[in-house]
Amino acid sequence: MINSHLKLYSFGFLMLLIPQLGLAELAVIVNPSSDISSITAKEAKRIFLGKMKTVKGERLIAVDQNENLESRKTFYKSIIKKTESQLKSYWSTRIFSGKGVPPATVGNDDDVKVWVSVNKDAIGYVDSSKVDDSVFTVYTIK
Amino acid sequence: MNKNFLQLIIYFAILCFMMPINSYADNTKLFGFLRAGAAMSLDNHEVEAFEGVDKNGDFNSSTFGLNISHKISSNLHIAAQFFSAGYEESFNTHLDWGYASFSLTDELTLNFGKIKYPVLLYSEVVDIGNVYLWTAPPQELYNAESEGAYLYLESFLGSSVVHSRYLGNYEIVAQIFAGNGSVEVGGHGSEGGHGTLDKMVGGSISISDDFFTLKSGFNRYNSAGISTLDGNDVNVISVGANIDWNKFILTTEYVKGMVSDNSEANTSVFYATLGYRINALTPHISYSKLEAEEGRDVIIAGLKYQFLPSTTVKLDYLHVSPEAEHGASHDEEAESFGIVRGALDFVF
Repeated sequence: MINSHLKLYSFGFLMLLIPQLGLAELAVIVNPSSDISSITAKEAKRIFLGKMKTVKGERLIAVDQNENLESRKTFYKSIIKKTESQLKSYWSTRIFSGKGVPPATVGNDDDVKVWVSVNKDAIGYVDSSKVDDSVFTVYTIK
Repeated sequence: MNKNFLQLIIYFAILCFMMPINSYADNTKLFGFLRAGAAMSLDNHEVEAFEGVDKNGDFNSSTFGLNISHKISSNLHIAAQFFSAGYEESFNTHLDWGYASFSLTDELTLNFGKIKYPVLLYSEVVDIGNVYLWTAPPQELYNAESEGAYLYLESFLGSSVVHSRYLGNYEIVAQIFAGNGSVEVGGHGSEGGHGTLDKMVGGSISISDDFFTLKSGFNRYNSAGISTLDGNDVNVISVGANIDWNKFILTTEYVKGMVSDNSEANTSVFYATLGYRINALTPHISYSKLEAEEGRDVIIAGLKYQFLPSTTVKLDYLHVSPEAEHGASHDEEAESFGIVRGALDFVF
């Protein structure tokens, strides 16, 4: 009897934890004054790899989060599909041949949100829970 | 440590203090790379054809580079790279490349200045150790020491037009270029001389996605000051592929240089490399062949260790088998020898 209660409590506790375990959503955000209403995952990837400068005629400048932050890890795993080592190698090729530089890093979720909210052509990504009226979501990573 | 090398580091330190590096608001960005590299020929051989290699295992293959780029406007930026190497007159610092880049459209870019040779898979990043497996790319292809029709060109003075676009999932990059180049012939430093590649025109096209790159190129030039080419026109064609799939890495290139009035000076180079990624370690093996007047076969067995995302440690063993000169008797055949190379590469 005690065992079955323990199992039930354990199951209930795990169910409560599930939303916290890797199910956090990321939002790709732009400035609310931007004319862009949505982008695709492919476009997001190309913008953050410096291979695409405009979407639907609108110029976008990507801003990144600091290394080792959870949002950045999720974004690069889901959208860019590169490890930090592969990313370093990719940007080394572009930087040292003069083809481009990586997006500037401006800090964490809060810093990116503030940056995008005051720069018309900026695009970044933040945890969905941080999104408010100061930014506009153009793509959601689940 | 040499005075020139120290000067470069001092310049870099001053620049670091003078400007906020790589902040978003600043349109000027600074990057760099550093290699601590040592190489030694075994069997007491003098090895002129391999950069930074000697009998003593000195750190002559150490290099340092500093890269600076500045965005003038949304469609105009300038960039330059300064480079210093132990095998080039003891860390003599020089402009590796530097050019202005003007974006005519999102897909079309015009470049002017001293431009890195764009034709081969690694010719634009030949000194950046963390983008390839070896301590240095196969010297049969990436070194100008072979005085045949194919001469490895580091950069040229001129202009290029680059067109890049996506076709479905594939990125297509095509470019054409024109200008004049200069190559070192017959060894670095005081023993070496310079030859020029005049009226050079060329182009390349590549197709790539996340897992592979295919690239093909050509260039044509008139040689001057290169005794084996005797002022003739030279045509060079190349094809290469890089596949990075799952844990396997395969890289291969083939280049052929043809002299207009002297087919004996024709040169061809081929290499193939296979690596297998085991977490941070990647063992690899390569075979390269230089077909020229002084040809050779080389086998490279090596190990790359990705210590940190920005740092790699590498160790290679090269088994070099020079081919006998045409008409040489069996007794005159050069003996095979080994080279050991190690390097720590760091980008910042």
